Amino acid sequence: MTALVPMNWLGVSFDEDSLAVLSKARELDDQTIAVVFCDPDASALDELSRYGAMMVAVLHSEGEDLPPARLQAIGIASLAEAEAAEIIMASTSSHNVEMMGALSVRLRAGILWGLTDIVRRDDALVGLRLVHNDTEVAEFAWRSGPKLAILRPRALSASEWPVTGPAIKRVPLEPDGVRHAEVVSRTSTEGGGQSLAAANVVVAGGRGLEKPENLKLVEQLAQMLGGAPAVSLPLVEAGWAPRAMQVGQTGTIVKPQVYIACGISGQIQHRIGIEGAGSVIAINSDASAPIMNFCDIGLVGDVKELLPQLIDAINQRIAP
Amino acid sequence: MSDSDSSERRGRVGRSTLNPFDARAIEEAVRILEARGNQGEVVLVAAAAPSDLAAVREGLARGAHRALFLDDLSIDERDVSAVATTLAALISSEAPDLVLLCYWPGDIEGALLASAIGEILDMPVMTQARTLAVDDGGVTAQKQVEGGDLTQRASLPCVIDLAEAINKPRYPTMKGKIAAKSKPVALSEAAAIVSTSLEPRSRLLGISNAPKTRRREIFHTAAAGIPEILRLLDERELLQ
Repeated sequence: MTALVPMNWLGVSFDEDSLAVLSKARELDDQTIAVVFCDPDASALDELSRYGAMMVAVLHSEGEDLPPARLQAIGIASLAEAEAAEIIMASTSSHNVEMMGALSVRLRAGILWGLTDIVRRDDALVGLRLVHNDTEVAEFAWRSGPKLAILRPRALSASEWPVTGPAIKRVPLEPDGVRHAEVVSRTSTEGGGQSLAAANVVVAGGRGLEKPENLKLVEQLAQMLGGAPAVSLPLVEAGWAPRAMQVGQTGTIVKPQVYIACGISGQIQHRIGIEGAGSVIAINSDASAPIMNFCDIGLVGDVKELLPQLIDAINQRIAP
Repeated sequence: MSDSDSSERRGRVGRSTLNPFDARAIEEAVRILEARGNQGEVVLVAAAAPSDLAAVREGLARGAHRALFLDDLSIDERDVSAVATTLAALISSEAPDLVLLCYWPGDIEGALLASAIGEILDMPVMTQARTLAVDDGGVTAQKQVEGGDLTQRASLPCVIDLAEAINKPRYPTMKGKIAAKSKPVALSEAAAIVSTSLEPRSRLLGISNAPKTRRREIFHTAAAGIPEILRLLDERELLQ
């Protein structure tokens, strides 16, 4: 059986999530094809092989370092048909999601997203997805093949396979007549995020702070614990804080020993950013906020009153 | 339909009021027309249960000119492919210049829906647009992606999925609400416009409890939790 995995190239290596999906694909199907969009050098080939690729398909179009999603979908659809692929598995990235949506139309295929795992049961593939604030796991089957799957970020960890010399197959992308969006410019988030990613303690504020001046409480607590202050996406949107301070899927992924969420509801895109935290402490006035299902200690109350109380209590403890 | 089902389709089905995401898409469409001297019209397209007609009327009160309403009681059982097929059939009957959708941040199904609709209609697609500039030649949109920002451009007609940050919708005026009552809503049925199968291409096998990944000690009397936080910080040697 054959699995196709589109890979995200980050300039020096492939991103961890797409390598994790690749190694999972190898577990499910012994014919695992890594799909890349530029010519891989020797070390890239080695990396693909190490994480399970038996073959590398190079889909490239003239002058594009990352072909538009619609073009990628055309190339992957023809590859899937030529190789009689059982499943096409992708990591969650905004580009992959666009590509998979187009691919589902081209292949008339069922698509499951946000999967935390895929298992083979009685010779059929089953997709697992956490639902209801991650308190329950739903199992899905595909009805028509090829099967399309988008794996939730950081749901899988990459496992290594014996390195072989993978075969390389080239598939030219023919852009003629396909209407697609063009990239005008691409900018990287300015530094700052790196210190957040490395912080041992992160104290983050969200909508529950209500006023920009209450961010000072978050900053004060972070400083007392030798940590970094951060915010959720809505505060960046509201202009209270720069992008470099944003924790979440499109901001910075943090892995502190302790993460303190102050007035943050904990939508999935935020939770993805804190999954690697040692302990999660949540302060939120809403007991049914998703963050309350994803914390170790949860305080249900007004963050504007509780933060000063917590700061006072810590002050008393650390006072000489 | 509950607020969140196994497909996590929160806010998309079964509401008699307009959801805040659709309100943003309508607001953006109305603003685009206003900036162009109100040349053209905003047409709402909905595939929904009859009880959702009230939400469509609210959209008309917000400045849309008319609506196509596909009466589909089974809409909440449809998968993303079937919804895309249905909406694309409705949309193509209008031959629009611009198709706008809006979903909440991180809504993968919403982004899939936009790209599937674009593929069916052979239109360029841009998802999660935070800013939008429409000119005679096309549309420029900016989005947040992993590690940075991306600005893209597409020619018309195209499909655009808007991010929540795109705008803050204005409240409907009393005049708008009154006018909405007489704006045309064309009703149709799925069988009349979609010839292909709308059978879901995946199915739910079952739901069970997920393994607990966090302690989840919740203090409803919040102050009582503060000593517990101190204990945890102490354990991790952070109170020095």
